[in-house]
Amino acid sequence: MNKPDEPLDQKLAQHFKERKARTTLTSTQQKALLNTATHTKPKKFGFTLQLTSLACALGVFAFIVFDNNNVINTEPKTVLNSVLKTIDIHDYSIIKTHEINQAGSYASSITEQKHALDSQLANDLRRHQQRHIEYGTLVKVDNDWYIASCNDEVLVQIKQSLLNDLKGKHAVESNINTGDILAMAHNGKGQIIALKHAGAGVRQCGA
Amino acid sequence: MLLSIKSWLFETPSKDCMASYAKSGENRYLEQLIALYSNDLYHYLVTQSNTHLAYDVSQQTWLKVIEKRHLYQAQTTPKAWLFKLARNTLIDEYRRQQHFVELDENTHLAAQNDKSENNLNSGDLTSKDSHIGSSNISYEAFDAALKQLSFVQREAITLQQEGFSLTDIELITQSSLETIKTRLRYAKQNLKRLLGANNEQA
Repeated sequence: MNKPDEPLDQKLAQHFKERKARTTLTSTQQKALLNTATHTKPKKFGFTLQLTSLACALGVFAFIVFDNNNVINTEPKTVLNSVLKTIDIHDYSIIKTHEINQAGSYASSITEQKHALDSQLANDLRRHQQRHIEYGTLVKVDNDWYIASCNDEVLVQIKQSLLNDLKGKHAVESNINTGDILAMAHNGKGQIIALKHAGAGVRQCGA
Repeated sequence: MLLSIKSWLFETPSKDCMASYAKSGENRYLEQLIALYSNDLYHYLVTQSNTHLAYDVSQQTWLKVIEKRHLYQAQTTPKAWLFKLARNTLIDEYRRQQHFVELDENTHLAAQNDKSENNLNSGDLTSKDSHIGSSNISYEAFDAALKQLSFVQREAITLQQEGFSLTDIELITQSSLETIKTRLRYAKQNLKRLLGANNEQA
């Protein structure tokens, strides 16, 4: 049994078949369409690509600039100074380091070269041994004497054993009180061999 | 190895050229698409407008395919996706020209007849030149009746005759299934009415 619309459906199908056959693009139109389509580049995609490329280029540029600024060159020990003269980092006995540490706070430290410290120690020892008379203020007396040296920020502690030895040799002047400026006589080995008042010429450290 | 050489030498068009084009953007796939669908698309657009506007919209549609190829999903029927683009472009064009067009059931956007068709009137329903089947309804008469349908009814019937399933038409027109069925039913009723006694004869 046929459906009521079947004749119409057949006619429609026939009509559209014929209609499609009649309604086609001419070969010129089709060529033009093909030409337009295949020679057109997607504008938005191109624009997006350009933006992406620009962003990448800027990123690379920024990376190069900032990376050069932050680089820590650990390899070379010499750098060029302003007058194009090479200097050795070991010429400096003290290196002050300033940085932002991992906690994010400002920190500074001083790195002293070992060889510089060694030579400084040797010099100090030599000066100490060569100095025959050292001045200082007697700051405290208990069993030991504590004399604050005038030349260096050094506190000299003279143990009771040495005091007794020096007193036995009559090498300690009498009437020495706290606050007096004393003269400490040294031998060639830097050992204290006598203690006495500094005298009228030396009333205070630095005089 | 031999198989790959054979496939290279006798390369057959991909089943879904649109998917291949969306993926690669190569012009050869676009050329295949144009060869496959350009006439069908043009016919649909002519049915919904006129030859001049149809060609113009057809060009715009292919340019949109180039621009929006990344939006194509392989699950969609390529032809349906193409027709959807064309339909939207055509409606945009109508709205641009006529300021605003509401595409309800009664909106009649009758395609502008070409010069030869303008001479037709209801009295020409039985042309001597061309006949459909065994009936006396001429091609021109059938075409005139078709063009008197509303935009959406003509569209539904054209898409159905183009071979689209109801689901495809749903995708193209962005309407519900029931709406499409209703449009098809009314379109046929109106065609019958317009063709009058000639249709009854069949």
